[in-house]
Amino acid sequence: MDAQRWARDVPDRELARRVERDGDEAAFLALYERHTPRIYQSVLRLSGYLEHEAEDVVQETWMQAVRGLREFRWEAQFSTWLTTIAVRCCSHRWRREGREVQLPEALAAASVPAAPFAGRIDLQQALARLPESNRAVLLLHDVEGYRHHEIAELLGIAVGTSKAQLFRARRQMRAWLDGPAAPAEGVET
Amino acid sequence: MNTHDEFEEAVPLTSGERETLAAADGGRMPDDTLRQRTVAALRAEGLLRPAVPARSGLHVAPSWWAAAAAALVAVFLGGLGLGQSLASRAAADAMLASHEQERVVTAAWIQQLGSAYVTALASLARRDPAGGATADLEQSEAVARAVLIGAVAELARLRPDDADMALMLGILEAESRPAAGRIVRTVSF
Repeated sequence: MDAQRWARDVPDRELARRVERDGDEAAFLALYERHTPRIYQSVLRLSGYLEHEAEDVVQETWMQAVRGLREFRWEAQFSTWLTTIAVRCCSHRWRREGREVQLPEALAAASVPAAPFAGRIDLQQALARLPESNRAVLLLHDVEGYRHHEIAELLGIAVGTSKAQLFRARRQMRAWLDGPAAPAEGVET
Repeated sequence: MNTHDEFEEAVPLTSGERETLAAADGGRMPDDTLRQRTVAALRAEGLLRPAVPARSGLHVAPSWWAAAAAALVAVFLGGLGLGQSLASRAAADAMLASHEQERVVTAAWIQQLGSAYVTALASLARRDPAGGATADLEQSEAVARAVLIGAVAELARLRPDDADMALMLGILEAESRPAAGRIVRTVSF
């Protein structure tokens, strides 16, 4: 799209300044094209590969980000800030809906998209079967690189709870990925 | 009882598991409808303004428009003044040309009439003297004399300081005074 082509080499900070100051839609679209794939992938995993839910979270993430641009101090990377907002959106959504339970097996399996690599399909299936709280801690710690105190702050839980959930998530994932077949039953929470 | 650190130590990630999780950290763009609805939501909150096509970010300050308007007025008034000036000069030139033309025409007219007058008198003088003075000849001489007196009178009025013209007019007028047996006619111009 021509609107974004000009902004390909413009830094995040300049684009964000244009969005915040002028409501510059072309600048926003440039930021959107640049960061949405990463956010969407993270949110998709956190949501257990529920695409509609991930899209809702991504939209809410951008809404909150644009509203909060004036307050962002640029002490962290823009992408990190966006991911933080996205994780908080997921957490609030789970709390609002009281979803600290395991996804139904059929729903989890149906939400897994096809992929060319068998190993990746296994990983996605395993992640989808994890309880949301365990999955969030595992992804934030082992994929996104957050520390436990950061995860605790993002998800509104104690640091000890974050460590315990990571332990349970890793143990369960290993059992599923190394085992002969994925279990149909839920996991301990 | 296990501590939180013991949880993590109990289930460390293997290098293969880290690679598997890292491979899952790709990123893909969601459906285009997400971009559209996100932009629409941001517009609805007044956080974005639609991009103006072909404007290409050309910002024209209000002061520029004021200066442009003033320049247009100045150009208009200048053109009006110049047009009036040219029109006035053209009218004066036309009048001068007309007067000049009138003088030329008048001079030409005088020359033609004078030539006709002299030619007519020459024709009259060439008449056969043996024929004697007839009534029509006397009438012709009287008209010619009256015309000559009238012409000299006009020349004297045109050059009142011309002594020769005044003397000639005096002689002609004395000659034209009524006398016995002389026909006097008045010629009007």
